[in-house]
Amino acid sequence: MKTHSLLLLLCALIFGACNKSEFLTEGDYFHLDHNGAKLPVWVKGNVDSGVFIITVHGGPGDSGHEFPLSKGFKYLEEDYAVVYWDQRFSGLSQGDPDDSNITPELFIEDTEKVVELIRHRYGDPTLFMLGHSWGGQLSAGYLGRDDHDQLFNGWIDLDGSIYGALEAQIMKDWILEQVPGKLNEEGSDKAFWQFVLDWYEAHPAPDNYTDQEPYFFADALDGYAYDWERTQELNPVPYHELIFSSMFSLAYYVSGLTTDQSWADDLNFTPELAQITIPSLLLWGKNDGAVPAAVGDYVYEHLATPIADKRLVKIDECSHAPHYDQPEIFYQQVVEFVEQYQ
Amino acid sequence: MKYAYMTALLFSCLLTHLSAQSNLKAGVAYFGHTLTHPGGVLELELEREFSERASLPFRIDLGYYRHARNHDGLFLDAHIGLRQYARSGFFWEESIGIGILQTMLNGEDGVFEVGEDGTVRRGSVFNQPDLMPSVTLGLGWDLTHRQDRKTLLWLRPKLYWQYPQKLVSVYHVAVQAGFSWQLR
Repeated sequence: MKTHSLLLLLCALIFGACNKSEFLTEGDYFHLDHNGAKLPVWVKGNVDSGVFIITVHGGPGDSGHEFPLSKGFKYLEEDYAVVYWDQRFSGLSQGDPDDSNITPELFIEDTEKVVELIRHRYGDPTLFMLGHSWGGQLSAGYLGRDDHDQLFNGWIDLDGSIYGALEAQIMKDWILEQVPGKLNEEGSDKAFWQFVLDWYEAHPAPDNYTDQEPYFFADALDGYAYDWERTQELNPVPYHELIFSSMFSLAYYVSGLTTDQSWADDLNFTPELAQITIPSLLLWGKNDGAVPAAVGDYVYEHLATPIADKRLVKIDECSHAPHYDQPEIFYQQVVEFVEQYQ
Repeated sequence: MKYAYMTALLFSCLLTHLSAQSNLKAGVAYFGHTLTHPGGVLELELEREFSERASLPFRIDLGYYRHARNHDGLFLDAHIGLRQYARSGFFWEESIGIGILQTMLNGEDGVFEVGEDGTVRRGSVFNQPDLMPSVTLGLGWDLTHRQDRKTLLWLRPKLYWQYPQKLVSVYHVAVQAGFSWQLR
């Protein structure tokens, strides 16, 4: 009996392996080998549209493979081809590149290679770039150099970073504005909120990426997801498929960039913003605590795009990820923008 | 340094085995990277028996698996562990291992490189070989209950590391299900 049970289990495993989910069947999947890193690229959605939205994920150290889990990007894939890829040391990237020269320039170079590869493989399609969070900063750095922006019909900056020191200050203001209310809230964890005040007193000028505490504080203030339960309902995670029938593995959870991100602390791509002249949609969650909406005002002000071709949209009841928190509004805004400028 | 210690430990165990009363087994198994991404393992095991109930197995595994849109893995690793048998033939075991893992990129559309001048060419699927330390647990049955002709059916979850990857060591989980039979 025990032997039969084990054989049945063995058959179930093999059968399970034969069932392929959308993660293993949809779109094109290839790798870019650049400077020691092997970057996975997933082109998914409506390739026949001839319009490609190249995403640049956040972090540093997150993954582009998270975008297609959100409802907002699922909607976009119906209309356009969306390019998801993982940066070096991040997500499902592989290889063991040299760690002695981690610089923003290296990430910009990777972005450039991904764009070149997409243009080559798909016959120079209509391109838009969408950067989220750190990806907003990286895409600004890329677009604002060497006239890269001229390869694109438009830029979508989704709660994107731009200037580390400034953001750390804006984030501090955003957090400290809300802490008194939390301290007075009945049943709140007063010791925690007092700790937040004490921490900022001891660290009046935190670094942008190296100091992780402000990100925890922002999270505790729902600065990442406006309403976590609602976001989960809107974007159910297909755990079974992800674990048993997708490209994901445990290696996905290991980022090579978690220990030292000081190379990204003092980045300021404001000069690059002054070189970007293409149509731009700046899409921000009003309740974003990681890259507060005031950063959107700063980007709008410094972007060289003519006023008629740039717009800043702040979304109500939305934090750091509009594609998760408000997928319909995210989709509507992006489609309006792409249809106008494609 | 810890790898040097582990390697020394494995070699000393092997030497102990060679001079002891042992049985030699061959085995074959399904290897599932994150359970369902399929592969196979061939194994050769030298089992030193302390008593009817306890033994010290030394095992060499040669395996291959394919995780679509992630990587293929070819590995050769050696394990040393402890196995305990119940009167019913049920056994449980734990082992540590170390080996070499060669991974190949898996994406149906291939690998590309983009040159300085923007030219695109095909790239290599091969990553550099990595060190592969591991911890394996096991449950199984001795189907024969015969000391001179064991046939074992087993299930082994395995946690292994791939070092260096992404500047650090990334970890993987796999489940192996198979059987082994005594050669001598």
